[in-house]
Amino acid sequence: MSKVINVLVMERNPELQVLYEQFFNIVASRVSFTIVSDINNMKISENNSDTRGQDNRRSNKTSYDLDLIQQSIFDVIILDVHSGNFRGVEVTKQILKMMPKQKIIITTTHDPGLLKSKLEKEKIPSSSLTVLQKPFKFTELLSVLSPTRGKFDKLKLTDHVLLTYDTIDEEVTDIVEFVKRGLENNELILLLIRNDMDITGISMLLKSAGLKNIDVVVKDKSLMIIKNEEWYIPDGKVDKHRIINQWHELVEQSIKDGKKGLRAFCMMDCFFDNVFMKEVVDYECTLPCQFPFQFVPVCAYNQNDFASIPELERKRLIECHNHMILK
Amino acid sequence: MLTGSYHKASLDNNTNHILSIYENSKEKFDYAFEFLKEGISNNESILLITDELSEEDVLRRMEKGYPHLDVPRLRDEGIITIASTAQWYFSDNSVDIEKIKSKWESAVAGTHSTTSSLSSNSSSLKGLRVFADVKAFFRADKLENNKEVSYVDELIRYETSLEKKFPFPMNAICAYESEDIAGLDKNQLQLLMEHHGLIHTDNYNELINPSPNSHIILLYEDQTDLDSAIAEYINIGLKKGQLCVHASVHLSNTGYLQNFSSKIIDYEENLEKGNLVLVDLAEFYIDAITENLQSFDKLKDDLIKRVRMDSNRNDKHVRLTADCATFLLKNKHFEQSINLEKWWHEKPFEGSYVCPYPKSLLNQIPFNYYLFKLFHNHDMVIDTYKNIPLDYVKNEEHQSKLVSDVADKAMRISTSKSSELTSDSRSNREKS
Repeated sequence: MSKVINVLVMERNPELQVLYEQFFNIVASRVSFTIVSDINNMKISENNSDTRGQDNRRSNKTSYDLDLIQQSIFDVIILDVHSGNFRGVEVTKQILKMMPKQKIIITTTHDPGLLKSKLEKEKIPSSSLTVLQKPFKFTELLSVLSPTRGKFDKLKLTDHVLLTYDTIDEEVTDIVEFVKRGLENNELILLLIRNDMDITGISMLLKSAGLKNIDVVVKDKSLMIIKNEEWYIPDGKVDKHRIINQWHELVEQSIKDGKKGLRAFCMMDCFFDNVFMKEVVDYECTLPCQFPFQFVPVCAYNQNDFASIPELERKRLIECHNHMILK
Repeated sequence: MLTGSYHKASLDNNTNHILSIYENSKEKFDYAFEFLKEGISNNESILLITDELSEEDVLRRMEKGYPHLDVPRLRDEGIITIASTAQWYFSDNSVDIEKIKSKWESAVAGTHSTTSSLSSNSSSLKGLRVFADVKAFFRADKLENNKEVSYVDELIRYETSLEKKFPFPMNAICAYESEDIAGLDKNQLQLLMEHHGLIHTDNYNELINPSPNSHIILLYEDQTDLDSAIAEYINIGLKKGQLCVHASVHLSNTGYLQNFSSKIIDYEENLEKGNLVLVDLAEFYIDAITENLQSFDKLKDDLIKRVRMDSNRNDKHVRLTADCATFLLKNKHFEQSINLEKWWHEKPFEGSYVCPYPKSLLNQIPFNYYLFKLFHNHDMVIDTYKNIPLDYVKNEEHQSKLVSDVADKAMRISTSKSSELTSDSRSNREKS
C-alpha cells in the first residue's frame, strides 16, 4: 500500500491553481491535495470537514483557517508569499508558532533573495521552509514533496549521528523530540548542553513541551543534563581517551540500571568556543562510525561552526558518522 | 567525435594523472591538440612530449589550429613547450625517475612565476597541462652490460613511481596506442591502472557496448551533455534490436519528451513497436521517499515478462536508464537513494543499467559523501567524455574485468590493424 502525501496549497491565482491541479494529478495516487485561494482572510470556511481520505483526493475551498490546518496534519503546506503584500510571511509565522515542525514551501514570482531577507527580518528560520520560485517545473514541485517524518525516527541504538542546525530554537525542538524518543524506548538519556543554558531552564522547557514527568526522570537519573564543557574539556584540554572512557562507563551504567542503552544529545559548540576545531575532528574520528554497544550519540553542530571546518577535515568528520541529518 | 574536454571531465580539477589509449597516431594527435588548446583557454601552460612530430610540425599545427593565439610568442614566454622523449625522460641513456620528478616540479613551479599573457588581467598561470606521448618507449630495446633492457619496463617503472594524483597543479595525459597496450601483459596493464586516476579510451565505451549486467554511474556535466549520452546509449541499443527503457522523473516536464524524442531514431515507430519503453518515475519517486519499492518490483516483473513474451527479439539485453535515485539524492533523501541503488544493483533482469549523476555533486558536501557511497553500489563509474575514474573501480573483480576488457579490445584493434596491413600488402603484391 503506497503512502499518500497530504498537501495544502494556498494560491489565489486561478491559472496557477489549475497548474497545481494538473501537476498533482500526475501523481494522483500518491498525493492528496487541497487548494485554497484566500490567505488574507483566514476565517473558518463553510466546510469544516477533514480533507483526508477523500475519494478524488482533491478539495477546493475559498478559505481555510489555522485550526483546520492543524487538525488536517498536512505533510507539506505550499503558500504564495506575495498574496497581499507579504501576507504569506504572517501566515507562515502563525503556522510555525502552532506547528514548529511543519514543512512549508513559500512560492514567489520575485527574487527569492529578497524574500529570504524578509524572512530573516521576521525571524523565521530559513531551515523551517523552502522557497520555490514561480514559474516552476513539475519536477521542482515534486522535489519539495515529502511525508512528515521526525528527525530521529530512523535512529538505531548503535548509530553515530551527525546533526547540524541553524538556530538554537531548532536545536531545542530537536532535544524535545530526542528526549521523548529515549523515554519511550527506556534508554538512559544524556543532554550535554552549552554553557549559556542552565539545567533548570532546560527542564522547564521540556516540561512546557509536554514532558510533565521531567522532574521524576531527572531524579531517578533516567535523564542526565550536564554542561558540555564539563564533559568534554573540564581541564581546558581535549583528552579523547578520557571522553571515550566516560562514554563506556555511562553505557555500562545504563545497562546495569535496566535501560536498553545510552542516547546522548551532544552540543558541540564548546569545541569551537575554545578553538579546538582540529581536536574535535580528531576525537570524532577516533569513535567508530557505528558502535558495537548500545550507544547512540547525536553530535549537534551549529551550521556556522560546521561550515568553518576546512573541507578535508569536514569530509573526515562526515565519514566517521553513519547517520547524518544535515542542512 | 572529438571532445578533448579532459579538464571539464576530471574529478579533481587540476591534478590528474590520466591514462589515455588511442587507436592510432592520428587519433592521438587530434586529441593532443584539442586537449592542449583547452589548457591554453583555461590559462594553463602546456607541454607536449613526442618523438613522432618535429617541433616545427607541432608549431605549424598549433598556429593553424589555434588561430587566435600568437604561438611563437607563447613558446618564447614558456607557456608552450615542446620536448622529445629523450629530452624529457632520459639522462645518460637511462630513465632517472627522481630527475624526471624534479623536472615536473620545476615546470609547475615555473607556471606560478610566469605571468600569463593569455588573460587580460595578467594573473599567474593556473598550472601545467601535459600530453606525454609514450610511443618512443615501445620502439626499441637497448643493450646494457650485454643485457637486454626493455624501455617498456623502464616506462612501467617510471609510471608506477607516480601516484593517481599529482601533489601539484598538473593534468598529464600519458598517451598510449592500442597496439602498444596489446603488447603489455595484464600485470603491467594492471600496474598502469593502479597508478593513474583516470583512464580514457574510445575503444572502451560502456555506453556503446555495455557489459552484460553492468550497473553504471554516468557522470555528466550538464543537461545537453546528458541528453546526448543517453540518446547514444539508447540509439545503439535500438539498432541492435535490444529493448530500451527510459525511466525518468522528468517525463512530465514541459518540453522534455519533445527534446528527448528528437534525439531518438524512429522514435514513434520504436515506441509503437515496443522497442522503446518510457516509464514515468514521478510516483515511483514518492514511493521511494516513503521507502516503498513495490512499484519498482512491479516494473521489474513487467519488463521481465515483456522480454520473455517477445519471441522475435533475439538480443535479450535490456538497456535501461533511470534517474529516480539521482533525484532522491539531489533532494537529500540520501538513504532512500542508496536503498534504491542497492535494489537496482541486484540486477533484476539481464541487461545494463545506466544511472546519471551530475558531476557537480562531487564537489558538494554532503552530496559527494553519499555519491561516493553510491559508487560502491555500481560496477563502473564513467563520464560522458569516455573517462573512467579508476579511483572508483574499487571492486577487485571489476578492476580485473576492466583490465581484461581494455587489453582484449586493444588486442582486437591491434590484430585488425595487422590483418589490414597484411591484406593491403597482399593486394599490392597481387597488383604488381
